[in-house]
Amino acid sequence: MKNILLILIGTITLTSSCRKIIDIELDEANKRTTIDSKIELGINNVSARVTKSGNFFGSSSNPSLTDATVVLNDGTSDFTLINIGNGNYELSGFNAVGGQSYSMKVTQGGVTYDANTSIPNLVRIDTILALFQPASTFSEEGYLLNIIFQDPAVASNYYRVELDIAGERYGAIDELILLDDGLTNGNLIQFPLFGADVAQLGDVVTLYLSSIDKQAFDYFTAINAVLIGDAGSPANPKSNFNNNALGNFSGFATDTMTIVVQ
Amino acid sequence: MSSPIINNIFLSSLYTLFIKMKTLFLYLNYKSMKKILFLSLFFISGIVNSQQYTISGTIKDAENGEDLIGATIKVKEIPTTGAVTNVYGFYSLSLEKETYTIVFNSLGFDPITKTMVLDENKKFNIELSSASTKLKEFEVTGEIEDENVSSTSMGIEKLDPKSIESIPVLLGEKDIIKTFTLMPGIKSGGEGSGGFFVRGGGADQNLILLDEAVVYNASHLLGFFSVFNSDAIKDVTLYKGGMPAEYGGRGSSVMDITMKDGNNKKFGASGGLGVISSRLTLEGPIVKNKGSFIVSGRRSYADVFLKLSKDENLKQSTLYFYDLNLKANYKINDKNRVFLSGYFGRDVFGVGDLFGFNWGNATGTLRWNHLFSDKLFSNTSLIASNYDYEFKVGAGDDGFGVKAAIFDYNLKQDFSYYLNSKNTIKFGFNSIYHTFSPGELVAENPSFNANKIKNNLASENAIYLQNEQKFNEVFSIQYGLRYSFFNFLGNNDSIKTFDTDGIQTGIEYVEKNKSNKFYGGFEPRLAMKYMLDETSSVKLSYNRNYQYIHLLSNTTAGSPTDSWVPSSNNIKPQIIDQIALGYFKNLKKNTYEFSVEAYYKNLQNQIDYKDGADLFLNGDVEKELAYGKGIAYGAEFYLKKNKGKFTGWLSYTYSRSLRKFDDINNGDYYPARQDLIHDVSIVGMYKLNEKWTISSSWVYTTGVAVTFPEGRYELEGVVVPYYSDRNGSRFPAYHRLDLGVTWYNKKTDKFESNWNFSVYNAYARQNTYSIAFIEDVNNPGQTVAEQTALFKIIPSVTYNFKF
Repeated sequence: MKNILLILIGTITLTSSCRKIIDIELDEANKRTTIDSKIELGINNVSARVTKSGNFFGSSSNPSLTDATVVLNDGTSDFTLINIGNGNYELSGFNAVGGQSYSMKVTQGGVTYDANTSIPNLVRIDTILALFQPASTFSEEGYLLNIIFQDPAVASNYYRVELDIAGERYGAIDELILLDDGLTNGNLIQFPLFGADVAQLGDVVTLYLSSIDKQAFDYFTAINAVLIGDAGSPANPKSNFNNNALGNFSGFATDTMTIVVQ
Repeated sequence: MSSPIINNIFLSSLYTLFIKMKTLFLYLNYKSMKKILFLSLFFISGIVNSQQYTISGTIKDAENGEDLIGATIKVKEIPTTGAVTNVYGFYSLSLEKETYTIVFNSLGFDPITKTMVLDENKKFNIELSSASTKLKEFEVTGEIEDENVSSTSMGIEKLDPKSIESIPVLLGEKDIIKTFTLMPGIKSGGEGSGGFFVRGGGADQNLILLDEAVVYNASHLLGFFSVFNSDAIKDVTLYKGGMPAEYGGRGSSVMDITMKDGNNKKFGASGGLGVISSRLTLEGPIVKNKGSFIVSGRRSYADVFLKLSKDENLKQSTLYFYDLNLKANYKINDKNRVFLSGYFGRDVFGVGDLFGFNWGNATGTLRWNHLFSDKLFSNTSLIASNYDYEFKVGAGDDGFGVKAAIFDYNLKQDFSYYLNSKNTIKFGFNSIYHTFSPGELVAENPSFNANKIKNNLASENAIYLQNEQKFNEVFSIQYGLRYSFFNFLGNNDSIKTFDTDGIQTGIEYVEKNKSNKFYGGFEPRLAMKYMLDETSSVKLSYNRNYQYIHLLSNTTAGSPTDSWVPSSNNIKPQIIDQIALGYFKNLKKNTYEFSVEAYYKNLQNQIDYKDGADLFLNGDVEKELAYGKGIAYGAEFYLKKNKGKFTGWLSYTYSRSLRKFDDINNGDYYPARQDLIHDVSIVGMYKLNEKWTISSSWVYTTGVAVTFPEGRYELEGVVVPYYSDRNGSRFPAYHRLDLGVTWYNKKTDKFESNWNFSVYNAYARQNTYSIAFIEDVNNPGQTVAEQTALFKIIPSVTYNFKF
């Protein structure tokens, strides 16, 4: 809505709106532990990054927490992630499977943070379609990429889409492409990826379709509202970690496909 | 208020006043309310009649036959007695048998005096001629000169579109709503957002009536202009509080707009050419002196220029709005008159086949005025209101779109009984049938399942009784009671009930039009005036308003896709109480008027969203809502100069508007968006000579309360802001100076015209539209605040004509 408004205003006044850097004083919040953790279908796909939140206008990057203990549980056994330094923790040799719930326990500074997630069943990409578009207000001339996939008959599927076009990544956390099947349940879905730039002939395109659970979808939706800034009153996304931690523990079932645009 | 000490004393004394008002308010709320009905009956039964005769009739403008609203009928022999014409120009005054000198007058007109022996009921249909001076163009009210002091009501602002002709506005588009925001207690929703806030109420708490029909979305171009074409409008009254019992349905204010009836003497045309739009109005008699019509249209033409552009993108774009106002009236005989009025307006925005978006209102009103006797005036109205929007993405087989609408049928019956010169009784009823279409997905594109959220149906009804009673020269009171009730109706569908966590706790199949949930309540209304001396008065008012329908918006700025929802199993009606106290004083023979009004408001059952709420095509949107309460209080200072070459006003409002929700801000009060603490408006118009008028306005408002980040964390290598208190920070203050010059060409009998030049934002203040937090380009890793402003200086020119 905001973008439409800006286009409108631009058109009305035939001048671009004016931007400038201003000084603002912000209150300082308490520092909070942040756990950014992900478990992906397949082998060697569990990782966690543990950091501390910082001052908003702070100049240095957020401090890494290197003294945490991170433990994954698959419902029967515990698996301790290996501290590889700089706040990063990994688990090698573990095979994550679809349709399964996992829990994570992070202990740091005497506080334990728990979270649960699930990895949905894999949904496969059917086709990547590149459709020619003339130049328009929204983009330059090129090929608009469309993802086609069969949504399962069961309701409530949630997706996050990422793609590389000629080495450029789209759909990262600050420009999330999220889909749900609320209006499209059980259909062969063709979705134009307006969120990415158009591709050109000869570009190599790799598409990642990740099935995620509702909690992760809601979390990413809230992150999107915060980062895109269209929300009326921004609110912190609800983490699935307890004890006031920031961040999330999210399960992904990702299908990948690569094409060359021609 | 330069000194902080003075500032603190001032604010603390205001605060003390508010505490006292709150106490009084609570007292009224719990003790007196139930007695008001009883008291009303007592007052009315206490009225004793001796033999009286009635003078009645209508008062019109001799030049074009337009009914004069608020024209006065004064009796020289009894200065305290008199009458005022209603919105149809009708008056009625009953007096004892005697010889009287009656003066018929309206501001800007030459009075007519009649001497008569009142020994029978008499009828005088009066036509007043414009006063010889051209002063009337600069008067802001069309009322008797000291009305602000002497009338019983308070919290009222009036505008007649002619009076705002020379006030400078954005791109030269005369705008009633934008002008009202220069008045005390009425605040703009901000640049690029529709709506206005009255005394700390939300934009959806304003009842906007155009010839009695509700206008659900009063903005064009996402809020830059209002939908009301000033050329078609005769009179606007805005009630900030103490509204009469005949009005109801919204919590905070009533904006009652009356369209012109059209010239019933001769055909005429008027219009204007502006930077953004052009206007044309045609009017004339249907049968001379018996009936007339008016057709007034306005269309913007930015898109015409877009077509001329070399830029292919702009060439493909569509962007315009239009308004069409139609009205006709016919006087069947002395006792019966009918009116038909309509409004159609739309915004259309699109980019080739890629994207299309349009929205608009349509209203229609059929009215019948009937005189049962010289004393009993009746109006019956049948009204339809519609608001809808539609947007489309793509075309043909790939296309999909969404439509939503709200549609009302409304029957309204109002009686005015002019019992005697001391009592005017009004009573009536109102019944509305609402159809809400929250959203329908229309898709050729096979990816989508057709999806239509079932329409919500509801009926909203009210009955009311009110008396305006003059006890003596100094004391008068207007007291009324409205009983409103609401039925949330079934629609052959299952209706769900949710608990506060959004968990479904019940589901029930309900047949169409069968009541599923009932709400109702008494709405007492009270206004009192006590004259301190001939030029000053104090007034007190109290009102309770129920609001049964609510606007859900997930942007702060408001958007055409905001949706109206009825009260239901889950949503309770909003209940808003307001008490206000005022002091009014006129100086130098009504050349200056001064007033101070303070108010305290209590808001129950306010609505907000839970975090991360999804509103779009969500059939269970009610589970995403959170309920809370609010308070608002403030003081409004107003000084106005009405006469002379220099006219204008100075207005200052101190106000707070706070909300409290369990799940927001740890359950503590936080500032609402409309919590704009200090608000100043200065408007001046100076008439140099017959040809030139210059004008200027300056506004200052505390920055909007917003939620800013207080920390940051890292996700997937990206910095994410971390928020704490809701609306705990502020944008920089908003201020702006506008300048205008109007040049009147020599007026002849046949033709008159003027040129209006204006400059919006004359000193190019970059007022904050939004603030984004971005990485400093010169200093990677460092975050800075980047402000976006919409406008720098915007000059414009408009040409207006009339023949």
